[in-house]
Amino acid sequence: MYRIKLNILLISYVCLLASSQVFAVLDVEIRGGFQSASPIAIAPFSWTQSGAIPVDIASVIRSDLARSGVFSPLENNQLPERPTMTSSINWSRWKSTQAENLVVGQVARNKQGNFIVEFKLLDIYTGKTSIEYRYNVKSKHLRRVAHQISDKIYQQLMHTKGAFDTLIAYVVVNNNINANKRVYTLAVADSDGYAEQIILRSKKPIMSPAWSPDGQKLAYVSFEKNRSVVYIQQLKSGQRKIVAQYKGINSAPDWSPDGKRLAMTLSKDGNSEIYILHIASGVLQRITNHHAIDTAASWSPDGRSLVFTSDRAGKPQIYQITVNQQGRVGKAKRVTYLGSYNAGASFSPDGKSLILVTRNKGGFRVGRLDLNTRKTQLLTLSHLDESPTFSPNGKMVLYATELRGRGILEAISVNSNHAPQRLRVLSGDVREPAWSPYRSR
Amino acid sequence: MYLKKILTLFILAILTFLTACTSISDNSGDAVVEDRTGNSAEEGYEGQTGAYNDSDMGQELGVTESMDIDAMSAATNAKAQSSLLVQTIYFDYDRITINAQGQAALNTHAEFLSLNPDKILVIEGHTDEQGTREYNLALGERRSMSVADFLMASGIPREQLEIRSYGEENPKLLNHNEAAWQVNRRVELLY
Amino acid sequence: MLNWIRENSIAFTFAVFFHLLLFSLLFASMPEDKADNIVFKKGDIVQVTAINMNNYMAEVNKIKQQKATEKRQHEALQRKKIADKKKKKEALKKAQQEKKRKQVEKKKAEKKKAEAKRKKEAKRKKEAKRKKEAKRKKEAKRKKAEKKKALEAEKKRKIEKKRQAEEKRKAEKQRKANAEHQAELKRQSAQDEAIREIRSKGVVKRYVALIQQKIERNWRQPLGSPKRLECKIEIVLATNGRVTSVEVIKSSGNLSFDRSVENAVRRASPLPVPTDLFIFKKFEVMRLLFDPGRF
Repeated sequence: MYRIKLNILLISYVCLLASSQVFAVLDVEIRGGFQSASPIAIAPFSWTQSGAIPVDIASVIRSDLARSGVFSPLENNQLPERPTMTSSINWSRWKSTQAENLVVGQVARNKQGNFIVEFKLLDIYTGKTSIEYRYNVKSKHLRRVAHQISDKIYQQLMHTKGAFDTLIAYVVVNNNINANKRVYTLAVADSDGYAEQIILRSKKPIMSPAWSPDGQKLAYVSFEKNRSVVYIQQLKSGQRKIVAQYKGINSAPDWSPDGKRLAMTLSKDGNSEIYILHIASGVLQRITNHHAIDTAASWSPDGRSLVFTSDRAGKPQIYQITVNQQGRVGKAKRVTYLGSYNAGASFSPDGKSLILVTRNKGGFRVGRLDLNTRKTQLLTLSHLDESPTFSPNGKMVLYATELRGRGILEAISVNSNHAPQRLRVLSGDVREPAWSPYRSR
Repeated sequence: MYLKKILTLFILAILTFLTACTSISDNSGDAVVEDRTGNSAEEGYEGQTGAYNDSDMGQELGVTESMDIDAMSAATNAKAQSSLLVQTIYFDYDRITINAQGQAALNTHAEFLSLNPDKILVIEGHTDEQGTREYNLALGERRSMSVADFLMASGIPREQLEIRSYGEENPKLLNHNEAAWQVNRRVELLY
Repeated sequence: MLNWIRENSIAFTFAVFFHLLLFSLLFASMPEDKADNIVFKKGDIVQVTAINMNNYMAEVNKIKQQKATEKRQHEALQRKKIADKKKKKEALKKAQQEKKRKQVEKKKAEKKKAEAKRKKEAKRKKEAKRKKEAKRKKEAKRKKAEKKKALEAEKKRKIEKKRQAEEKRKAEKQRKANAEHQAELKRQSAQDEAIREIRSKGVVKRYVALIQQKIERNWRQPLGSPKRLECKIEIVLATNGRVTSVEVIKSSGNLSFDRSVENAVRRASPLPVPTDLFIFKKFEVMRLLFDPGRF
């Protein structure tokens, strides 16, 4: 009996083995791989008219995507062919370039003098068209169209809204050693630093440009009256008004997410404190009441709290305080504990992290603090980095730094350890960048 | 027709925009020029500056304290005017405390101010470029306040003092090293 | 029914004979009329005469001739029919006479039979009695014999049982021996199977490693992917290792990550696969789990 059972077992085991081998699906685990920027090829857009193309759209797209830190566009000399919207594509040649996607396009001029811009994003592995768009614009909007195409490509491949069709505000100084000869300029340009327009020119310092949530106004600090005064200026009309010129310091304006309130630093009551101004009514509400320096308040995206810088613990650190609609103020809670100097914090658009300036090994770097883990990750490498500002999609950070004695702006991706991309600088020292919200059409 | 309207509006907007900007900059240019080379100080005291050596001031002051009042006032005036050349008080990194040299200089200002109650002293605070601009603006003010406190402790009323701060926005030297930073960390005393 | 035939044998035979006669007569007059009485069987093809226009006159004549012969035949048939009818009538008369005669004879025979029966019966009864007696005697004898037999049978049965038991045991032994032998064979073949499996497992292992390496070499993950992502896909391979289909069966929740997984497999195609078709079968459909952050 035992023998029989054994045989049965053996037979059934063999059967099981046999059957499992015949009908089983192999399960394999893949654990490796590497992280790197997405390789993409952008072929020069075809231009059928005579003369030079007014804006090299492919070049703008290439520089946008490179600046994002998550794409690595091919150089023109690496492209195996220059396909247009209609040409047939030799996929095997493209597959050997390692690029995953290909952008082709064309620009044409119609009878009315407008420009028709078309482009296609193609997947090199499947040969299929992912997206295809067509624009009809005036010549002055060509650069903006290029940025909008970059946004569409970014959105399609990164599954996040792109922020290339945005503006940046910044201050430029032609730093003359003679203080009397210095000229300060508040300017607004495209996110890549091109198409600069001057908002304010002064012989005295300008500080802290801050965008209103509707992208129509800038608040800033100007020393025209030989002291710090806060202004709000309408960008389209150039009209401006003074919102704070109290005794002492008037500085660090920051708009609430609903655009109705302005957080500021005022020292009118004898010490540097945070206040909230209700812009329409002019009502001023005091938020902090401490003998230490409290400054640089920044609103959370939900409009319910502020982070600010305070040295109440001896050295500057970041604190958070809640403020509800009725104006009830909570207790200030310390946020940063590591490092001897943490200042100038602002929220990411998703409210989950802060960017700030932190002292590290004697130098000042931009760091990103995850509000969940409370860990700070250093984002920049040099030692005089400041004024970090988030792109509206929270994926990139623009900040001011110094290169060979000159102030410049650099952009980095929050996710990658890709090298920072330098923004085009015309002349003078550039500082205090502020990234605009998404642009309305 | 609609297009024309937009165009004209647009052109108007650009024009207003440009004039606004230029008018602003013109205003700032006219109203605000302030000479930092000490000319204002010289206004009232032409011809009387330059007799004494800066660096020995502190010790001499200490010595002259015991003189009689008349002599003292004349002497103080003379010394005050020379001490007014000391327009800058320097600070250590991240410090708002005034060192001995600074205190000595401030004493002369205190004396001058008490003798000239109509004079208002502008105390302008500055910092080096390290750290964030907003915090430095407040830090500069702290330094000014520290000076003001010192003067008030010497009996000068608050009304004679005006506190300002430029933070790191108005450096004296533009280099990015400790030597330049040391010079930039200062309070300027102006009348 | 047979009894009835026996009792009315004369009538029956007469009837049968008469019927046979009729039929034979009928059929006897058949042979000359084949053309008119074609029996259609299933599948018979009816021949149709096609008329060739060129031979129209010939055909017409043919038909005419045919018709003439037909007419002749018909007349002959008619004549025959009349003759037949006459014959039939005569035969009928004869048959009826015969019938009468037979019936009389039958009655006679029946009477005789009855008599014979009665006699038989008497005899039978006598016999029966005698038999009974004999039977009783026999019975007694038989019973005795039976008893003997029974005993003997018992003995035999016992012997049989023993024999059967023996045989069973023998059969069992045989069966066991057979079974063991079978088991041995099976074990042998199982061992062979196992060895083949192990060998093929080695091959499988090697190719799985090659495939893993090639895919990992080609897997560009999006920068800044959250760490604990997992994506499972099912792929189908052609015999040359080319990936013919990719399907995400468990998404990581991050679209960029999922796409990077699909791209990795497409870039790595064609995958290294064993050339042995039997082992390749294991690779035809594969499930790949991409989980870089697990360790």
